[in-house]
Amino acid sequence: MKIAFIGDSFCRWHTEGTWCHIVAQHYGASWIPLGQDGSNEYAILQRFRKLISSKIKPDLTIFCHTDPYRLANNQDLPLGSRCAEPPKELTPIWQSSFDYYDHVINYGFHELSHRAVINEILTLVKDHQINALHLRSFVPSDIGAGAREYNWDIAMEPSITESLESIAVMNKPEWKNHLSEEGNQYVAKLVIDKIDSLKLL
Amino acid sequence: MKIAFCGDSFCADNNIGTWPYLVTEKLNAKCIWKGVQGANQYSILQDAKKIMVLKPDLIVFTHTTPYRLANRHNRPLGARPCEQNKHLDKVWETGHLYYEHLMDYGFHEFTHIGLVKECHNLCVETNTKVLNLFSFSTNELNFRHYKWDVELDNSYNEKSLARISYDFQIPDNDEYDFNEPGWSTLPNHMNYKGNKLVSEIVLEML
Repeated sequence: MKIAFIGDSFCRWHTEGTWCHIVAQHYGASWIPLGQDGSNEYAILQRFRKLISSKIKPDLTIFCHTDPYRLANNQDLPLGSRCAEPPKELTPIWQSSFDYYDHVINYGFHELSHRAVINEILTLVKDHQINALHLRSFVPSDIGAGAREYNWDIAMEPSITESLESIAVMNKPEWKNHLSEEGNQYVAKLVIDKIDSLKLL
Repeated sequence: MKIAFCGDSFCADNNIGTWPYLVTEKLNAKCIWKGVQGANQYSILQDAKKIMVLKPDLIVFTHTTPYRLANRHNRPLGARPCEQNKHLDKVWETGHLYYEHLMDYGFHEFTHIGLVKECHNLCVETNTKVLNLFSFSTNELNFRHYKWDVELDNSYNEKSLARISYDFQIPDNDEYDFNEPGWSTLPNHMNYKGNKLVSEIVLEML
């Protein structure tokens, strides 16, 4: 049995004690690690497309959908996330991204694009009959101003509505996947309960 | 009857002799909106939302290229204008740097498709009659990751406005009485014969 974890830094780590590891171990599954620090939602879509086109067929794909304000870019760098650690001497791409947020960003555009990308993921899941569970790394209330112009917390089924960020805030200090050890256990239990209640595996 | 022309520079001129003018006149209608030079597709959608408040009887879109950069200042941030104006201020410079270092063509193409559909859906949801024209197509601009031509109900996909304009690039101002002599212009990127042709396409669709 294989479980794919695809998303941002909330599913980046799969070492012992992390929620990804606990879930995989619970079902005796191997895991396909497709979580990436600072990933933007478009990059998540692209990785999902690659997974679909590969010969690997996971029994379950668990998504961690990220926030809309990260910047899709041609280098696949984590631009606009807290995981973004620029080099000490700023490269042109990093400097350009800082300028983008300072001078150009249109939040509404990011929110609407985010909705389009998630809808595309949902369409692909349906069209390819993929067994999926959707987690939200963030919901609008996790982010200072909330949604600006478009509600980007769109309906996804099956999904867990509690955001990973809201769990992370309550579970400090951060250890792996932005969560404490207890936080990782809590998320694992949420996921396992959901999988069992919906008989996803 | 109220008509809104919503889009980029291909419907930005509605003066006498232009295709928006000819369509409006033929339908004995009032023009309540015109396109914006260098508009990006997100700003076209935002304009469409504003137009809805005016309760138009018909919206004619000229959907633009996917490669313009949505921005909070509503400036015409395309690659070429940003290159030309990069010394003017930080917004232009940032636009230029975006194209130089960051731009993901696939992302622009993918979001463009969603934005065009959103424009159309907005009209369907509000029961507003809509025609979709496309200023560009992949026939001229090609594509990287997503073929971004969108086929919708009430859309004219045979030729883009840019493609039509290629055949009407010789100014013909002097052939029309309404122009002062000596001027040579290409309203909406084409001469008056080209504008006439586009108006006929629109009227035939209607």
